[in-house]
Amino acid sequence: MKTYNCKPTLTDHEIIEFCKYGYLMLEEVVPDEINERVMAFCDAHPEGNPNDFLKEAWFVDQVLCNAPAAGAVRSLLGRDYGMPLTISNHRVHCPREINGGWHCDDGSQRAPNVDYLQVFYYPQATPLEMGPTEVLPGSHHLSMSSHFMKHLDSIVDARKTAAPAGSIFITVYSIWHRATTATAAGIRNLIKYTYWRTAAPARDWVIDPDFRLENADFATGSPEPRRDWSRVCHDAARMYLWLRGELNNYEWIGGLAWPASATAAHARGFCPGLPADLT
Amino acid sequence: MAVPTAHLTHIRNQLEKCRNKLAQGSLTRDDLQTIIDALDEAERHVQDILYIQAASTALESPVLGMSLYANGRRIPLPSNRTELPYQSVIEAMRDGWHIISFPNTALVMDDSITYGLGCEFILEK
Ligand SMILES: [Fe+2]
Repeated sequence: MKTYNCKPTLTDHEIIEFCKYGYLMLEEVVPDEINERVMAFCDAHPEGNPNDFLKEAWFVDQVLCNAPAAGAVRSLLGRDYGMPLTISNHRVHCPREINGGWHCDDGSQRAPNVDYLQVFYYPQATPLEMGPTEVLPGSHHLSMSSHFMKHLDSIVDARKTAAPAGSIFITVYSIWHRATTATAAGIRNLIKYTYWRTAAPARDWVIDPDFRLENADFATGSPEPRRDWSRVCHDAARMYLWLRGELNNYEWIGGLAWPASATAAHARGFCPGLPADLT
Repeated sequence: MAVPTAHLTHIRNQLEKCRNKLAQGSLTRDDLQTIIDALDEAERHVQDILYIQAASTALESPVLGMSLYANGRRIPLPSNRTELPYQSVIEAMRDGWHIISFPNTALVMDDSITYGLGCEFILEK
């Protein structure tokens, strides 16, 4: 497996946002001339797994090692992360109608581990009319077999990833997602691939000197009505501490202790539940 | 397949009308056709199903998700909560939907491992 290294770009705050919502959208990070080249390559290789992309230096340099995306992947997976082994293209002829379709990809685990990342790249503008992927933010913390999701349709708070050409979004592998109805005509390409962790998890990203664990905000923006507040905070904090390689120091005591109370003022010097020796 | 009561009542009413018209000597070919049409409609009938995922087991709690099957087909619904046909289970019931399945609380006794998507009610029309 080929590996790659670069400087991490995400801060603690951004890592925590990823732990909470399970995805990160980077809009218009791939230049237009590369997007056009990718589109032409897809036309010449219309198969579902155009792995010949991996032999193209321009694709590896500009897409797989795209600086903003690689910096984010490096932050989440650590140094010398493994490069994609295969490339998929969800190439569809629009218009098309989608009903239901919610799923987690095969092999999804409900664990705090981030041993690999599922990444999507839109080489063309993908507005709502072109059927962008829809994700359910925070769903990587929800337990449900894909077989029990097949009747689901409209989910409040789901987000369609409509984005301009050259956008890349990075997800926790187990996030719930689905294809959506496309009303426009034409071919839509959506390139998908996976990066792999090789390094042990560690707090190896951009360190904000003002960051304090006792003040970190693990709650989602709007109260998530399907789960208890303390559980939402605990799941995000557990993933964040796993990424730091410090999960063993954490024991959730429940109640309104840390991390549920992480945004409350702890200037009094007492933060029940805060993992010992961590800042 | 069992024919719903509403269809049976309708067909019975049509038959009674025809019997009265026959007694009066005014029964027409069109009157009999209405019964054939009603039978055809009853044969085509498929149960409509509405799944509602709600924030709690209370009937008035807000919807988190919804799926609808009508006439044997899945009907696409908007993702925006305010555009959904009902904002709660009780609203759907007021519109004639009957609950056929309540959220199974036996499945959520351990809240550390089982979440899914809220509390699911299944309704029919
Ligand atoms: Fe998928």
